[in-house]
Amino acid sequence: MRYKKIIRGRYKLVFNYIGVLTMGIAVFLLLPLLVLPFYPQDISYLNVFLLPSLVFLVLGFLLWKVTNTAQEQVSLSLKEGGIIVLISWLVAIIASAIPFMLAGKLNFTQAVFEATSGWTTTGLSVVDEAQTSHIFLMWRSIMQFFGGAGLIVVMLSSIIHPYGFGLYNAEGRSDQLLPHVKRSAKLIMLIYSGYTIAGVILYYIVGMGLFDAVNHSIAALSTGGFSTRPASIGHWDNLGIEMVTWILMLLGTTNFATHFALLKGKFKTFIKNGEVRLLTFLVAVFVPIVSYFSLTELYSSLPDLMRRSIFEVITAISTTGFSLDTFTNWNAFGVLSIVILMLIGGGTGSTAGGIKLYRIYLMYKSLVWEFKSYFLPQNAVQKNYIWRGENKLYIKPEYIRETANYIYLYLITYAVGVLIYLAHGYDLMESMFEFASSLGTVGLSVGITAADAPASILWLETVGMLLGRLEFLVIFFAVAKMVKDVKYLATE
Amino acid sequence: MLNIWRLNNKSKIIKVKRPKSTTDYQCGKKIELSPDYARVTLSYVALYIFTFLIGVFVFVAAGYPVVDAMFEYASTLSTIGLSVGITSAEMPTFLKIVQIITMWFGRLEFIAIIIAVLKMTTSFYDSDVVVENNTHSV
Amino acid sequence: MYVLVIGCGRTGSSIASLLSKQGEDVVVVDRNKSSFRKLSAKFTGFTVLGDATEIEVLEESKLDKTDLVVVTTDDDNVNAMVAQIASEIYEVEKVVVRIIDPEKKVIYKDLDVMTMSPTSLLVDNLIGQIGNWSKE
Repeated sequence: MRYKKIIRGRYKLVFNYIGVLTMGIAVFLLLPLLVLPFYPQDISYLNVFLLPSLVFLVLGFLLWKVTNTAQEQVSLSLKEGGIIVLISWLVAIIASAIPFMLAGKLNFTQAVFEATSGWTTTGLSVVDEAQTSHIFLMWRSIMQFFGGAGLIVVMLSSIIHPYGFGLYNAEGRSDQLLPHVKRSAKLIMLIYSGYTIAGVILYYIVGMGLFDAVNHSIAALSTGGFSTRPASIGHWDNLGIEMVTWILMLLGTTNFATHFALLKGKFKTFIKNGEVRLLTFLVAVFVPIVSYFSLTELYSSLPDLMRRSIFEVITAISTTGFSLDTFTNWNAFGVLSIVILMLIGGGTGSTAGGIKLYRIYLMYKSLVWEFKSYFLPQNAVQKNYIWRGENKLYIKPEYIRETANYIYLYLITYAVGVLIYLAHGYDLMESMFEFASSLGTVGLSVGITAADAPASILWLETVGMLLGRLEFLVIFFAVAKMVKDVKYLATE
Repeated sequence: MLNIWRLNNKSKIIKVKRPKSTTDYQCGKKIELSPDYARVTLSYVALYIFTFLIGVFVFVAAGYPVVDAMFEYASTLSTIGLSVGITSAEMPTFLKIVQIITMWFGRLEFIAIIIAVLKMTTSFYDSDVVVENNTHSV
Repeated sequence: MYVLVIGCGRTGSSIASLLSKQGEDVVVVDRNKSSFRKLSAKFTGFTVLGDATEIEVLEESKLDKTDLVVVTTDDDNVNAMVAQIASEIYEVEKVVVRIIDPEKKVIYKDLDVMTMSPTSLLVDNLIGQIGNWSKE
């Protein structure tokens, strides 16, 4: 009985947090109304945001009030943090889907898809940007802004109080910048918002309208990739805008701890960082080979060719998903290269998705260490380390195993997803491209994802995006723990 | 299986299964799996997948469709021998050489070859390196 | 305020937890990983694993940027050494040391270091209390 009481107490705490987070989500729903003074014709959509906001505010408040009795100061474990993250993300997605449905623009499946694509900073879209009013375009960008930093980081930096690391680590953004969780979260939001504002100014200087500049700056830094135009960045056909986008995408895919080192002027630690090295290496290798093997057929002049290949390589590896033009006329080599880049993905502790550069780098290093150890005397002790943030991190064998397991889980999920596409009758190349794009929260598309795609494909992609953003294990832990606890509580 | 007995809070005796240790059977003999052993296996799988990707890229760059390239290269790397028609006498010489090396790697399991090559290219008696490593490894 | 706590025993861990709860930036150094289990749920700072007598460990925990160092290892000699490094070499503004053997207090005579000895505190307290009783 005592154990049951403890479980109930802990779940009260968990739901207390969820209540607070729900209220926060309700506040987010009000933010797109800020565009109303500039675009008064969108006033007819006032209710579709106001109504769900009120409903979720009341729901969140009730949940918080009911569970507020649990004032035991306990630390949340990683699994409990996982439950909070999972449920609050689901609440956020559903709440964000409601305005699309109320406005009659999308049906349930499409609306949930669009909201998931926003919150996970993917950028796959089923709406037609040309037909969409400013308030909804802004709403999509706002979802990407908060999804990029993470719901928990946003909330930690403002209202909720941390008990232990469980909550912070559960969201897949685990690097801590300062020796206090709350201060770390605030610093992340500061860096993130600072870059966003800088991005808006840069875009404005190179000739983008203010509304487009705000949306694209958010979408590039959050590595989201929702655009306000159907042709994405290709709409402008302007080298200046493209170059600003390169920079913002690369900033977005860099770990916040690395940014912190860079902003403090520590170039040495920045250069030593494995992720930065791998990113540079991959861009330097893939830009020429994609240009040579794939784009020579499509472009006649070298500058045009380089422009295209640099942009598409960066957008794939940073998991952003902006695009200059269609991929349908690319040959197999180019498409396969983009698929590999999308699977690798961006940096850990950044806004990007994918397997993450850090894990790939670690596996590469472990191979090197493995070979080195064959040449060492039998009793030699190897101290293997890599640079992470500003410190050396010594690597234990268990750690490498965890990383490898994650990669296998990722690839298995990927293979299963591709098989489901193939079962729908799509081409292998298309399927590989589209699911790598969903799972890695990239947002590039070869045309499968559209409003007329089968509902089962949209749901598959929705699940893929969520798994990719929250990094699998948290979801598995959270679900396993909930099932176990509910089973235990249900006995007698 | 060893069972531990534990009293639960209702003073009813329940049976608790001891968590399974990380053991596996190989050649009918039970072996304990250390994380180190797992690491070696993982490196092998990683190397295999990596080689596969590179190989597919080479075939695709030569102008074959992805499905054919994946099929053909998987067949070669695992020394199977099925073919969708890429492998033939008319195939470019370059790809033939790639195929030869791949079959060889696939059969001899990478690590042996890589170690042998590395050892040969460095030198047979790396006594200096060994001494240096010993002083470092405290 | 940036606080560095050296030694994560009963004293060190509770000081670190309370300061972290108050919102200070806290870093704790200890050479045993298991010691960090004593930190409470409210602690959200960094932990550095290593021997505080090694300069690399102190560098990693950013001793040069610290506002306050609390030295509470279970060895008076280590405490003395770390406190000296902190106040003399890195010129940390405030250094607090826990002294186990009150006789060792003379070490800190010429240093700008605040010392506290549990034994002396107990003795003073007790003597004061007894003095109060004898007045009655």
